[in-house]
Amino acid sequence: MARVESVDDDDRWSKLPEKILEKIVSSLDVKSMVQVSSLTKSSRQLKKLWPPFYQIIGFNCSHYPSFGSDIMGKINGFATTLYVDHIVLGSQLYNIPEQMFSCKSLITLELKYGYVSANDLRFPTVRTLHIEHCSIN
Amino acid sequence: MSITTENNEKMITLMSSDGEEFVVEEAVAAQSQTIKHLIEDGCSTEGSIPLPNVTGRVLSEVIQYCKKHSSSDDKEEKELEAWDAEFVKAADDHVALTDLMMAANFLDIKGLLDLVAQTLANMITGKSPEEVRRMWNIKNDFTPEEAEKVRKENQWAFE
Repeated sequence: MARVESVDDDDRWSKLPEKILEKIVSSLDVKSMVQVSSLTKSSRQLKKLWPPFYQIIGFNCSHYPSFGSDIMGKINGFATTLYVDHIVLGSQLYNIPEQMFSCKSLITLELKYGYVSANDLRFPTVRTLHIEHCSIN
Repeated sequence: MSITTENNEKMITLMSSDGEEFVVEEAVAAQSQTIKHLIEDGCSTEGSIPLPNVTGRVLSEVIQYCKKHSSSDDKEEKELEAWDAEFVKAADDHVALTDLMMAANFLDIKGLLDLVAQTLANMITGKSPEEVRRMWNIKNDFTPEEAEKVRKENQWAFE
């Protein structure tokens, strides 16, 4: 998209202190929160201001087979965008996305009945890992 | 400098960053926790209280808010809500509201801070990132590749 470079001297938004941004962000719905956290490189750090509700999400895919194959894409989105720190995955149906294993907020990961086809299992921050009936290639 | 009115209300002089002076009742000024503490610490006795972070234009709006909120009690909650809505509507644009929010933060006026935060949040809701960037003149510093990566990462929220 073509965009004329305008004078950005009066960009008051980017100069707002974290405390103020936190106030604004906490009054937004999820969709707007995601957008506001993607305005600039530095606004990416706003993700950590999101309310705790969005930071701890447990999933058990076997309970939601009707979500279809996109469920993994969605969970991956949640994990990498939302600073999720605890994920429970249980499904025979899906491959667990590789990015999940390098997600920097993840502290607890529980895998049950899954196929893991990742080459590089880094788990940079995971402190608790629970694997049950998984096949890892 | 403390002046006293006929009904014995102590007055405080507040000085904006651009040298404008506002004489207000102490109870009005004390809506600001920052000013309240300055008064308690005796900083107001030597003269006016300087507020180097707040311009006269913004300070006059803040004082309007503090006057209203110091003279109303809880019974008038409904009326106060309506007044608040009119107040932020009068401030009218997001840049003025951003300045007002900075002042409310510095002066530590929780009610005003919450009010303006909610108003700004309402203004952002439903806007695309590009629209929000335009509102505040925010420079998009993502490369096309990075932008695409962010778009993919956020996709789950827009389905």
